[in-house]
Amino acid sequence: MKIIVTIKQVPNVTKVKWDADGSLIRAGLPTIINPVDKHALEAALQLKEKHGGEIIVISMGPGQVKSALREALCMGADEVIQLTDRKFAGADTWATSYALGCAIQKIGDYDLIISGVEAMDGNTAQVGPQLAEYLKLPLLSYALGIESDGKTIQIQQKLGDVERKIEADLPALITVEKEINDYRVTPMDKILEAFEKEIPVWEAADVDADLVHLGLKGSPTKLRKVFSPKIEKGKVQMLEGTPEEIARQVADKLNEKFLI
Amino acid sequence: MATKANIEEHKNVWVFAEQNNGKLAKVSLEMLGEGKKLANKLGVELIAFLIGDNVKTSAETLIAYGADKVYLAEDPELKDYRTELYTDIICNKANEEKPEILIIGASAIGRDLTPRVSFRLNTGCTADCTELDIDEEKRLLISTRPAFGGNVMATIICPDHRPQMSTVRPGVMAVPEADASRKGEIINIPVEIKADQIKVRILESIEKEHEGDKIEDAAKVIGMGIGASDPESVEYIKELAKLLDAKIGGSRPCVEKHLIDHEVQVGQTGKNIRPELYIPCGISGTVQHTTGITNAKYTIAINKDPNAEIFKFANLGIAGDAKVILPAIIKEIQKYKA
Amino acid sequence: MDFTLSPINKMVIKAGKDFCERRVPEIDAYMAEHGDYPPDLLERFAKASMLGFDVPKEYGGLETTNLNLILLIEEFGKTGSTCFLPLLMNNSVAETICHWGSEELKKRVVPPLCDGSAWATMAFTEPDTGSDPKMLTTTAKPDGDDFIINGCKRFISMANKPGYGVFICKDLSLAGQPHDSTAFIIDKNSPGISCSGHYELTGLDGADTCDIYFNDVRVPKENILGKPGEGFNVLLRWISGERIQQAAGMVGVGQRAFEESKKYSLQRIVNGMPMGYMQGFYWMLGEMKVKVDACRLMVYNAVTRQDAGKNFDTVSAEVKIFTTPLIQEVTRMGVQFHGSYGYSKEYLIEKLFRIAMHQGVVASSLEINKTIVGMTALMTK
Repeated sequence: MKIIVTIKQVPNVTKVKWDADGSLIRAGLPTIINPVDKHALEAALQLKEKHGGEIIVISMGPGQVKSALREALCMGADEVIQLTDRKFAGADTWATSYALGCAIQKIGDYDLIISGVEAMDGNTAQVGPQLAEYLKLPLLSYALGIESDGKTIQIQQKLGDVERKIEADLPALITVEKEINDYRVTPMDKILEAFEKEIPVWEAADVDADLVHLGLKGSPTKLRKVFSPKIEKGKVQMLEGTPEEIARQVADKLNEKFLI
Repeated sequence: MATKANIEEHKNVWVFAEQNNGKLAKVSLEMLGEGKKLANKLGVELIAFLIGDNVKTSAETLIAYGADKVYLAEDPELKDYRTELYTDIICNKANEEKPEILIIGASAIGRDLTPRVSFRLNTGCTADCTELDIDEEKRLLISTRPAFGGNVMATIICPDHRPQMSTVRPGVMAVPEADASRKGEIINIPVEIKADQIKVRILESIEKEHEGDKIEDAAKVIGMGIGASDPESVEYIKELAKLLDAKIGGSRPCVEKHLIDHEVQVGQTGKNIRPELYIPCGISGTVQHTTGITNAKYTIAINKDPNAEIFKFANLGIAGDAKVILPAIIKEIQKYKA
Repeated sequence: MDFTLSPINKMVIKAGKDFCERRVPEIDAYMAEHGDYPPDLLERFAKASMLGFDVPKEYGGLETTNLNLILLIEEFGKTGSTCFLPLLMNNSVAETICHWGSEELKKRVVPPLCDGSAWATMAFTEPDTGSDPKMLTTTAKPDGDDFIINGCKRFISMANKPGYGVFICKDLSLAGQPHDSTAFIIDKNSPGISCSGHYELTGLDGADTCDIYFNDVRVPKENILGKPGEGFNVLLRWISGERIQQAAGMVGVGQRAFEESKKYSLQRIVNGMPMGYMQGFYWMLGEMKVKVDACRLMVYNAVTRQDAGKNFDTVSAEVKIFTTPLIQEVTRMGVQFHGSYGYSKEYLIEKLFRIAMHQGVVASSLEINKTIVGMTALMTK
């Protein structure tokens, strides 16, 4: 099975810091592989263990995305491809899906594409389905489990309150939820091999992408402004006293509001 | 692709209405309410798009909730949601009728369908918006959504492409009042499904049982945070929840510690709650969590750190250890009940 | 000497941290409940390819440096878990066999040690001796093409686990000669072998240390590791590596003690401010950090010599002399730092303190190491 896994390198938004004015400090934020993408790669590794084949991991981003791809090699990807070009910069999900789609078409001859449901910085969950649309592939989203016989692929799908078992012929595109597996610890032998491997860099010209659809200019959505969320500086009444006194005040308030 | 020239041809606000076995999803009703506001500001019609099998009564309900027209596509093959079929039907009609705005509830189905539709229509889509508005001067949809993991808010527009698409999370907008006397038009869309159009086969479909209310609908919620995740505090939280007949929800770290289920995670990547009473315990109040609680009516926050962000969202604040405060509160409430 | 870590080193540490965070808690939970290692522990290590660091690939190893191994071990040390003992033992015994063993022996015994199907053991200690080969009472009597082993080894780790052990025995075929100890590789499932129950130790909770008894155990002479009479040398060389690895683990323990104390100092409020801001306490933190950092550098220096193929017996003894009292002091300071909480099992620090106490008495005592360094210094021109 030839499996392509798309990953994204994201700032670790759980470690965000604020400056004195309440603005976000973006510089120096550590970058990581989008956590659910590791589950996507793990799913690919498990399929490869069962069916043989190869795994190609691809990621679009500025130069530092190389370290994410190196980590993917350490996890066990056979090959990685880096999509870096100033022309890709500023892309919204449409332009990103287009660029990734062009690159995947260039790789060609694949059986399956696996990606995580969403990225932890954007949380749009759009690239997976959009990529499936561009490549005209059946979309099997929100996978909690994957099974294949080599020709067709089946997933256990979590569609809100409904759990479904759906199936399609390969090639297809699957998006996975993090509940699908417990991704492996990067094994030492793969780490040692990973640093011997080349990470090829593809630019817009290498993937025959139409510049009109790339980057900021190619993005149908435009950012109008960014601001800090309205923190409602509500007047909180801080209760004082011993725990018993505080508890009394709370119970009184609840009673007053008919909440008990 | 829509270029600036044909933007004038695009009119009307569309809402995709999601249904499951004929029952309309609450988020779609919320979208209708929001869609109506947008349509009114633009002076255009609100049109609902309903796809399913034997769902005509739902179409009538949509009119009661504010739709001026309903595009109805029915076929046995459309009974269960299918990405490619639903995408085909919506896109074909959209290319024909040229809506200027299309909004969809960001349920699991919505998040699966919307990107596919927006890509095929060569247009932009803004996901998980918390606010929608109209720039009346430019006739533009203005979508606001959390970004950077919820740490900032971003305002996004889609100036040159149509329809402008946005999705909104369930529970963020209010459900409008229904008016059964409203009149509207139901337009049947001819559906012709060829066998080779069906790329995904549905082998099994099971509706999940949930015990009791969903947290989004709970009237009282106790929030469990990492600061109250030790065994003792967890016991007190359970006791208090039982005493107040409240549901227990919490922050993402507690879900990851397997103390609470993902279904009751409250916040940006979890659920939005709008209870009468919310008691967050040991929750610091990061933006990722607080985006889910802004609609709570009355909040009593407990946290060891007097400077915790959560207090900015609370009516009453207690700077203390949940292990100590909760049993005292439980005792006092028991006195009232006695 | 440049101790800057390479990208590979950093990735080894990252993977080690990930394993320690996601996999070690359930290992510890098992050990707390059962008082022993999970039976599939080595398989879990093998899955993450953590066995066979300094072992050639042809025998199933990783063919990489001991530096990478000790970087990994420091991460384990930070968890306060005992599970690093089998990890170290399989690695060091596999390397030892590769160094001294015949081709046949290497092909037979090393791959299972690297794929996790065999638990390794190294045994010298007996009831009456921990370091003197002349006092050995476990005997190996020649019998045709075999040797018959009789005796008892004490305080042996992983003795009761299936796999291969290296046992240093008094070789009766060399009776009367000055060097009469021979190292035998023995399958621990062999008929005639039995084990006692576990010793309950001060620290290293859950460790399976026990006595192992040999009652007419037959071992083929092909299983001799090295040459007859070289047994003690086999042990000494193994212990030199072990000392460095043990110290790396203890550096991890000390580092964690420091971090726990720092965390505590920022949470514990005294007179309206975190206690860490009081001079007495941040002086303590500073001292703890200096000690741990210095110990780490000693370990790096020693392992660099080891990887360069230089003689590392003395320098590894120096590492032990230096790090043992310092890490023990760091963990003691950690306990003190936590006040009465430091004496409670609810906090990690008391466990770290108890672990640190083993370094001076396990795998060559502090005193033996002082002898090694002192005598060598005296004898060197």
